Amino acid sequence: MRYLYLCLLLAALQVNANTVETFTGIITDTMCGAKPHNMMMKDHSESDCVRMCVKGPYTYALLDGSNIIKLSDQKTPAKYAAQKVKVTGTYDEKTKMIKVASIEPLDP
Amino acid sequence: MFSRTNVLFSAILLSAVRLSAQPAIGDGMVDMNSASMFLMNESSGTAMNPAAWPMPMLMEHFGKWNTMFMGSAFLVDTQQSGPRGGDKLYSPNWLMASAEHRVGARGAFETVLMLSLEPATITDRRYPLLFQTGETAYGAPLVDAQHPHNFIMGLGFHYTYELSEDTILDAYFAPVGDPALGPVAYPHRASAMELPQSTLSHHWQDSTHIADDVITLGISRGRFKLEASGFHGSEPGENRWIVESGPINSWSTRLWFLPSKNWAAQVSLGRIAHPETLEPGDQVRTTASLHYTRPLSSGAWSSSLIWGRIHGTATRRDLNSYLAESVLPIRSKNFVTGRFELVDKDDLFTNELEVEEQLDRSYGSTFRIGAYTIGYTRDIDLLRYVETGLGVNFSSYSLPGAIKLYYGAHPVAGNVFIRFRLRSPS
Repeated sequence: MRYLYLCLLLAALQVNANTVETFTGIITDTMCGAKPHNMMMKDHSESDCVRMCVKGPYTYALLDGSNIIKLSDQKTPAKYAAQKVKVTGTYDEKTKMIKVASIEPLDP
Repeated sequence: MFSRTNVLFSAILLSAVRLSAQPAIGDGMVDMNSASMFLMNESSGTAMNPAAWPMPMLMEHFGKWNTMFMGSAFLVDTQQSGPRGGDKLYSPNWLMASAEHRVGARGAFETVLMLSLEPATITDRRYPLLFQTGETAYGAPLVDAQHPHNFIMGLGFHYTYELSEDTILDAYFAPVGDPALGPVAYPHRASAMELPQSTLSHHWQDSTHIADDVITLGISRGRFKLEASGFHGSEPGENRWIVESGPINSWSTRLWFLPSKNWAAQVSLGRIAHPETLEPGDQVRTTASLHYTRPLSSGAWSSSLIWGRIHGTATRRDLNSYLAESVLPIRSKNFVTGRFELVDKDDLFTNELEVEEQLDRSYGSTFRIGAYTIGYTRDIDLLRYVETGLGVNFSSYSLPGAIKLYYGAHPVAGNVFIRFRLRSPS
């Protein structure tokens, strides 16, 4: 029984380690990252560039300051390409990715 | 012939000098449009791996030219059992460089050059590969051996134009290139990246990746891409250092279905005029393939299923080949890979006419060979721009009882290798 309690305690600690956090930043792609999109596609809007880049091997990501953080959800960010958003989720240090719970646009 | 080669070399050299004269103004790509992005996702010729595959390459821009460099080299020691097995130290390798420039608001141009030093690093015009057939060395058909690739594996020019939001026209001309026939050739296929040796079904599925005088026109709309090619059908000659040429006497057509970034599928059909120098007749080749790539935190897991059939107009035989292949990265630095093949071979005894006739009378002309390979590569961090790995793979074979006398009952092969592959430092 003592071992069972110990296991439950460890499991609870593990769950607690992956706490839900809020991140704010701009939806970008892993190709351009923090670089200006108009350098890559000067005749297109920034959102067009992001959406174009993710057609290849690149994915949607969050530009949080100077950090590019990958996002587990690759559908919702399409709506907010190149926009400022609030991402709620858990950050996995191992995969360097946010497991997304929700993405909401922030007022410009 | 040589004057044409000289002209090509001069053009390449001038391009290189021009590119190197312009300083880079930063990382990444510049001044692109939809047509440019379309070109970025093409592999050998106009063939495509799944878009989700993170193609290992270096990217840099020089002025408004976007350049990409891809390359791979293996140093392999192979050991094979049985009366027809061989041993050898050899190096398969290739380097591909491309330069892309936007043309107006909707167009893009790209030139691609692919080189290989295999004519020097695969000595004696072959490396041992049990049950492999195709092309010649010293005037005789290669059997149980694989040919080296040409010094100039590819020299091509693409022009793409965005007709509408999801429709792109693609034109490709290549003095040496890859027509629209078959899957992505094995040296460039995502699922084959950790296997240095050729597939046994190479000449059933993707051997036209080095063809002369290729013209391809294609249209891509939504999830589909339809292409048609004309090209010179002969396999490369034994002088692997030169660029050959010939009339456009062969054709092919290919339909791609790209349902998502993770999947790519194609069916293709072609008639190849007199591909083998020493064999009479043409070849009708039909292929179908399905490719899957799933990005993981440790890399990308890629797999392929391929079927290829050749019909010889002289022999009137239909020969089939089936291939399943996969590579799985584990914790970034480890790769587990495998390739299983079944191939119908009718030219294993083409250099031994008496044996061939005797087998033909008692058994038949075609032997279904199975090749089952598993392998492992471990990356070691040596160089910033080169992904270096130590690898090993092991193959066992299944074969009809009628030819066990010549190959042994249970032939096996092993390869130990060092792998070098260009990569982005990020």
